[in-house]
Amino acid sequence: MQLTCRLRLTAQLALAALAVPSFAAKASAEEPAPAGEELIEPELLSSVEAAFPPAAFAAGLQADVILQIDISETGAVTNPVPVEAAYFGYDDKGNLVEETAEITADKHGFIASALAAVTQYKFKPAILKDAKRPEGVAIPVQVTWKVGFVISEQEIQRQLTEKEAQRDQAVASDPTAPVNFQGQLLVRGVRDPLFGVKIKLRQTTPDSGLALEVTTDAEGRFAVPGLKSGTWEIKVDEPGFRLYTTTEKVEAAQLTEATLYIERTREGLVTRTTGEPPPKEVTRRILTVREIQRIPGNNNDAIKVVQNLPGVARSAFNGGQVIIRGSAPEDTAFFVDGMQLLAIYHFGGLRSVFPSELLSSVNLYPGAFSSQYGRVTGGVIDVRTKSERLERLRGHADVNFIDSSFYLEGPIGKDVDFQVGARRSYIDFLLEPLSKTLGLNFTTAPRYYDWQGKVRWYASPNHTASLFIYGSNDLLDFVREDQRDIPPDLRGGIKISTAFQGAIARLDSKLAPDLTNQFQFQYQPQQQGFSLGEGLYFNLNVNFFSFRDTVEWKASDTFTLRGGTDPKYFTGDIKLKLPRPPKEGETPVGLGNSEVLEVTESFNPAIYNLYTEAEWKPAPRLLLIPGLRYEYYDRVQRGAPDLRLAARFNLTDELVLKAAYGRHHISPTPDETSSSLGNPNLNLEQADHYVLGAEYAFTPYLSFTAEAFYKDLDNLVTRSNGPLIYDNAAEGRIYGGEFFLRHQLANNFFGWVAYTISQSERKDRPGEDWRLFDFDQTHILNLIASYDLPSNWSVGARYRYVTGSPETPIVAGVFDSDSNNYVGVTGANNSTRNKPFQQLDVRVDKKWVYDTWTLNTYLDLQNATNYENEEGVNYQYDFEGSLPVTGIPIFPSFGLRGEF
Amino acid sequence: MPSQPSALALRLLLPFALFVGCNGNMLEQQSTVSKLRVLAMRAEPPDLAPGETVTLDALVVDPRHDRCTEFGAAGSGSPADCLSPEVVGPPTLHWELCLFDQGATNLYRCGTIPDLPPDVTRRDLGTGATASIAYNAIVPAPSFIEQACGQLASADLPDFVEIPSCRRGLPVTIRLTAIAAGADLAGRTTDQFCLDQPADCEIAKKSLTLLLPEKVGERNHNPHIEGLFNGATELESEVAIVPACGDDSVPNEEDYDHHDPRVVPLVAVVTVGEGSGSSAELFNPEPSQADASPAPKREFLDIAWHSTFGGLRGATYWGEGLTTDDEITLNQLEFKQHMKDYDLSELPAGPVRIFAVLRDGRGGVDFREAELSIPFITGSGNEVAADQQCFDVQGVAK
Repeated sequence: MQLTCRLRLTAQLALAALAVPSFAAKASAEEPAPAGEELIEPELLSSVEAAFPPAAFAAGLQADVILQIDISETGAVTNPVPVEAAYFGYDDKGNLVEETAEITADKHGFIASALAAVTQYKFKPAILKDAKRPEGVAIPVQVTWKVGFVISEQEIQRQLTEKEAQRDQAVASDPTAPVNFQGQLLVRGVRDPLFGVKIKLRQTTPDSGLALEVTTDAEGRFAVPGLKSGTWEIKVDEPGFRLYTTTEKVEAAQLTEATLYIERTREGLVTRTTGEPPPKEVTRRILTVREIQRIPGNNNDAIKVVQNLPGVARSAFNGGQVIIRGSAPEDTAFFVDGMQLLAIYHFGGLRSVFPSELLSSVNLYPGAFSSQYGRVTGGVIDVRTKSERLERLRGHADVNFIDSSFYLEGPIGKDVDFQVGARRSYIDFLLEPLSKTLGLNFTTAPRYYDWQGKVRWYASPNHTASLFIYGSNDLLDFVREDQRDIPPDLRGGIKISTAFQGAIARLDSKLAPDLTNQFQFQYQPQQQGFSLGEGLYFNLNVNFFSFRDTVEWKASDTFTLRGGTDPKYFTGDIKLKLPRPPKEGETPVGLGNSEVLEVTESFNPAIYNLYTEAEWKPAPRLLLIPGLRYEYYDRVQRGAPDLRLAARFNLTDELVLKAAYGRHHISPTPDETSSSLGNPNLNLEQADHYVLGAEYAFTPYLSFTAEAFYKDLDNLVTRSNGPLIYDNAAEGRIYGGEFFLRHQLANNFFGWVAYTISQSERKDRPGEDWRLFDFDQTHILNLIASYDLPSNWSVGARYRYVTGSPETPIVAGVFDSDSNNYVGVTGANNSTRNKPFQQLDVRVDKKWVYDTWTLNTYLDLQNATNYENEEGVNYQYDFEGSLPVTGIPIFPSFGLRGEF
Repeated sequence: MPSQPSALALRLLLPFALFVGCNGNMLEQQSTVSKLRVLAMRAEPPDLAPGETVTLDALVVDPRHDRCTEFGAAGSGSPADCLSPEVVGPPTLHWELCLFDQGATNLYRCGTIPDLPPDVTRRDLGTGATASIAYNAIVPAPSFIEQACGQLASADLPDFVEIPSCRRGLPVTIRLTAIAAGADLAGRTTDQFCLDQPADCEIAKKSLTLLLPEKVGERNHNPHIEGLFNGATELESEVAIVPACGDDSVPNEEDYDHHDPRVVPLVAVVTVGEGSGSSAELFNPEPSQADASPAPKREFLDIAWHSTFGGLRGATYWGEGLTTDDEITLNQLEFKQHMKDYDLSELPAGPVRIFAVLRDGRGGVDFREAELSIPFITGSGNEVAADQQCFDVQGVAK
């Protein structure tokens, strides 16, 4: 016979009617156990929240529901029976109103909710101990349990306020009347609409005390029907914005419109651009344009700023060379939206040709990158133009020390948007008045200009077409007045010119729900010229055609396959008469005695390729990206397969482990494979990249990345034992680590610490010793910080410390009597270094915000401490003495910029 | 194509960035001669035709030698960088002839070709102030030039390597090693000594064309400097420059820190070719890829000026079709008017020597030397100090 013991327990459940209800339980025995027996009360092991009936919650009604429940010897709850229910709430004036209801009429739903919840409770059963069973035995018990439905004080207060507002609103306006007050709420200065923001209105004349509240829609608009006549105070108190108040006079029978501009007080966390895919590359660094525009020492240049990221070495004289993980600049390629560019800088590095505003992000892939990129063994920089739909007219005008620019973007009708911009330098205007002093006659003092335009047509939900055109032109042309001490071949002045234009047509198609296609075609003519007098010149004319087509099939949530091709075709000609260029590790030893090459050559090489890549998630936290690419270069009549494999494993939500391998090939440079200048039988250069790393996200905006990399280089071009030719006998190895602590733009601050330690070495011929590459920089430290101060001031600083670049010393000079010149005798390749580089740049920005536009001004001070950095060596005529060539001294730059 | 054609272009233009863009004002100028220097090598005649003998000489200067002799004569001791008085003497010259050289990086040493005997690829021409060599000693047989050119074209060099043009004949290298008087090689080779002590040793080279018999008509001639003049006065031997004070060209004392030059106008009078009547010859340029049959061209002549003290307005002037009226034959030797105490150590003890080297760009060379005697410079140290406030060198007297 089962022993049944009836116990009366009191349990209390307090359920806070909040988004996350809390739970508390308390039980006590009210009936004492018989003598000699000991009863251990059941213990609640798990529970579920009792759902607060929504209607009751909205009405501010709370309740206590008393239940009688049986707890079996297994701890399960059976036979819950309501015993009592008490309701209480507050009237409009905040007075407590109580009610006890019949338990048979669950008119608010509390009883059903309480019953549904307790049946899912799990208890540790009650234990009865007596003399026979000192160890105790589980027994069924019956208890009384109270489930309380409680609304927090804050919520009660909020509901009371809302009721009051509704009462006032009902008086202040008439919902059945026509709208007589409407407007739009925008961010001051940039005119972004604000969605879901509450606007409070209070009648001040007459001082009736009437008030109401309206909420903005997706376009920031609001409307009030039948607003009472009078003067109304309008107030917007939104977190992250300055408190806004104004007054409007409203007539009942007349429509009053108002545009409200509220000023942002702090930057929120900048989210990635719409449409950016989640990170899948093992190493991809993304910079947002907002950050780029604030980094000291970069003149807002979106592309040069990648030089501050880990793995990227310093370029001499703050030039534009991008040296990624020890590789030569020509081993790295630039892309815009995936299409390769032949040139991206004015005057080889002074400034990039694309304004920051045109772009949404700059992506740096320092190694083992996707099979969608080929023909490079260093790294890839892919700048992305804006991909989001442009729904408002925006623009800017910028004036600074060296150039001026404008930019406009906006919609044209419903299905088209556009971007257009242009820039011109005025160094020529500044220099021409000085030409007499300099003893120079400028035909054209240095000047550059560039322009861009993009139109997108949203033809249908499944098709978007765009056309992006761009161009750039640089020219410098001057003659020195006194030509008598210039060698005859070099007389006639110096002329440098570079011009290129481009057009990229693109069609994005959704062919099926899981199948997309992206097609792009590019045409880019380029003309490059240099002449030193009549004797030395370099003229290159290239017409560059390329297209890229990528098909992507999302087979499932865990598997995506893409494949495509991006062939290229060049046609053009080159004419040059120049000293033979120095190759890796070599240093110029004198102009007069260098072998002068004279070449006239036409070329029309083509590059064909196919690539494929998969994204496979064999487990929820593991992503594998195998890729394969095959490239064929018809100029050297060689092809090679490239294998890529990347893996990301999210060990936790914060910690990601990653690894990658990639084989990459690149063709030797045209001068190396030229039948006139080099060896047309050269093979492709090869690089194997290995990467191992981890990412840890401390917060959504604070992260740390550490990576180790190794690059194994083979078939590198080197001078052969013959005096003038090249072969593929050299090899190289580059290894190191990168560490990146980054705080993205949030809470008024952004900054990072980027440190790279690496060694890049080369063996010119088998059996020789390893030596340093030209671009080896052992330690590269970049510290960047920018902070927004009150009153729209912001300050920033950048500090860099970099190991000095390797130099090949000239140890002696020998005299060529025929030309009256000395020629240098070089020592071991890259056997010395310049002194370490260090530089502090600071920047101060001030912004004035007006309703529809902003005015920004900045002072950017490069090399604020005027530190004399060695960038090279200037030798005496006979190479016996030398002085260091120092870098840019302290250099202030001032700019003004208006945006709307 | 490379990933960045512009990066390649930058590499192509790098030499100009370093050699055109850099201006080493703090470094010594090539026109200033302060140590052992080979200023020019000359072959007479400049092309060697069958049956002829060439005479080689060189303009080799070591101004430290001048200082030793002058100070020694004055009995006032030697400057720190003066060579020991016991070993004062002219530099030692070592002449060699190379069939071809190994380039500047290898100090212009003679190259070798396995098929040619060593005495053909390198010939020792002695250690005198001059050297000479006969055509027949270098070219043993009429077919030698064709054979040598053929071997150069085929030996170790790939097909697409451009070899030196043999259109007029075979260009060979004359290599000269000049070693300061009294230098101690201490068991080192001369090449190693030159690398270790560049102030006491200089290696120089000059090319010499061994003309093909049928090209004798295209032979070059050395240009000729008739003399160096100051106005109408030829600077022959030591010419006294009389200092004069009181010039009103110094506006204020602040300018004393600057170079406030006084000048000695110099003129080089040149002619080219015997009785040519013109200072520059017409010649047939080498064909190029761009121009297979170039029209005859007139020589560009250049005059390189050097001095042992003072500054020259220009170091080297080039000009086409030189005549004595051409401005490029003019130069100015400049001195500071106001000297500071620390300038005194820079003053030479002996006369100021100036040199003009005339080249025709095709191997033809002539040179001329003159000495200017400035009294306060040639005096003893005390006399210099007394006259340092100002001196003027505009007056010239024979």
